[in-house]
Amino acid sequence: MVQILVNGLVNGAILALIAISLTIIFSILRVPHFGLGGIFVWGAFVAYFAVTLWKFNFLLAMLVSAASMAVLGVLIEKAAFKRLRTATEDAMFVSAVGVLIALENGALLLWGDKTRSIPVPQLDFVFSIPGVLRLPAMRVVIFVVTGLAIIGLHFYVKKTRMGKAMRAVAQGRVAARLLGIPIDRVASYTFALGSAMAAVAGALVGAAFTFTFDMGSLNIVKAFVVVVLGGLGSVAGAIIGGFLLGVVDSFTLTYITSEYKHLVSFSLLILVLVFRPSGLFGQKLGRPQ
Amino acid sequence: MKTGWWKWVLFLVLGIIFPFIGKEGYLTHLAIAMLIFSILSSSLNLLMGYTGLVSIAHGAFFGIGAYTSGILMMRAGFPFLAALVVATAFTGLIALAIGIPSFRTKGIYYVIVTIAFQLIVSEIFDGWYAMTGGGLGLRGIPKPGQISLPLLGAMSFKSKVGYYYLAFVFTLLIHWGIARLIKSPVGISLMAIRDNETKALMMGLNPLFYKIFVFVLASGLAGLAGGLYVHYLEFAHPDLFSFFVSVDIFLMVMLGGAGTFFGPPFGVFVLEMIREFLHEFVALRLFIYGVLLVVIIIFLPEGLLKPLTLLVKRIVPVKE
Repeated sequence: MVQILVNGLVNGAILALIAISLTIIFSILRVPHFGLGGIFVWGAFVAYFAVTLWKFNFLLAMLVSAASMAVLGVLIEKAAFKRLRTATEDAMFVSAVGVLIALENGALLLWGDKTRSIPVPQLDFVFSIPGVLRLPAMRVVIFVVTGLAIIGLHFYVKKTRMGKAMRAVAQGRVAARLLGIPIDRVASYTFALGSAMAAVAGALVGAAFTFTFDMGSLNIVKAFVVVVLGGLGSVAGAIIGGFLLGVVDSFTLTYITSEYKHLVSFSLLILVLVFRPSGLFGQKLGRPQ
Repeated sequence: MKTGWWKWVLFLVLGIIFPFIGKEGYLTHLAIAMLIFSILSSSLNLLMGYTGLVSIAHGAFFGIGAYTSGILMMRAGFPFLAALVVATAFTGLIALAIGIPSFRTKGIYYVIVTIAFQLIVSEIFDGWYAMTGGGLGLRGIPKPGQISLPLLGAMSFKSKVGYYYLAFVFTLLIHWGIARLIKSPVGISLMAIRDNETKALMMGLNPLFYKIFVFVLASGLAGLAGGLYVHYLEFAHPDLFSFFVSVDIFLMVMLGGAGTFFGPPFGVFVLEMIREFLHEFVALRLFIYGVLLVVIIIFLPEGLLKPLTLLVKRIVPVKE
């Protein structure tokens, strides 16, 4: 019981991390960036090669992964979304799905479909309370890193000039532009930030579990479930939603069915979208346009 | 269709003589797949192009029709045509059940609902082992029995050429129906809703009714295409109706041009050609699909066909 709960919370932390990266890009730029699923995969691969080929320690590898994916994220913004800034969300979504498919299959082309895991010998021990809980150290790291990332994000958005500019753009793009805020630069920083967080999530999954090139699409859809559960644009909602979905999934898997393991979460998504479109925790805004 | 009638004659003639070139070979197989996928892409075009509803669930409806028709014929002993009709109706019914609640959402949220639905259905195809055969697939789906036609005599669908004509007749009839529909008041209402839903509402249309109608119709047609597909392959598998197939169909419509009549079938042709040339390289092909999606949405939101015809018209001036 405790074990299932904790497993759920670990998965929830990962989901929360991806969901936050999705929600900041969506709330600031209105881009439903499903391509983050691909960044998530590439983040895992970069961390893996940093550890195995270049013999970096895991923490450094994670930073390398975050930095390189931030750069890739900015390039993607320039290539796939910049020209669509005035287009509809549907059009941006199509572009984002294109990015997702291209990134995942790009990874397949480059590195194949082998299931990999990032070796972290320093963290290869397990905390355990016999009969109640086994918790590998790596999963504790997931909590710590997720927590740090959330706190870091909070201060960045609330305290820095760029954070302020981001919030201004989120509130009203035209007004922000009139006040002299450079939208293109804000967009680049936002994509860098979101992509770095998705990459960190990828590296964490790659080290704590195993990863393959195609783990991105499922996780990004799940992250979207989380974002919707929490209310779009709400970071706190994304965190709560992430943990909630992680736990729900974990219990579904153990007690209800292992064949239909995503059925519950996706049905939940449809139900929430249909009956409470502003999310469980979002304020009631009426119908989304 | 006053000015475009020669196109129909052209397609009819080409379609009828094609098997004399393709015979029982691979080309005919390819043509059957293209016919079935053009039903899929044209029906999705009704949603995407004419009503402005982006849907990534067409593969799911394709699969529901396919499994229903296959299972009915295999396990319940339905004759082919009855199985096909029931499968089409059943798929439409499922679409009605999912359509009524899901149209409470709009824009990107609606797209997400369709994705979630696709993933749920895929999981059911995979998991409901007793019914669908799960990951092993459903094997031994029978082909339709022979019929006797006036003038031509007995016609068997066991051969590729026979099945080709069956698929051809369905494709032609469905496309003719779609062409009539989009010229009719209903089609014009759909486009009015696409262009401005509030305005359509003010003009006295009921957008919800039309959306549900077109969603059920398009999904039913996808179900019919599914039936045609599995009775040809004699086999069904969850991978044939997965999320990626939905994306394929979606890409076909985008590539040819959403909201144009001949665009989506043309998109099918282009994509099937890409598929053939990159048969061995699945990863590369999907990578190219991804890049294509981005390029098309940015540079060619009207699809390939329109700019191509303009180009041809510039080179070869035709009097309209």
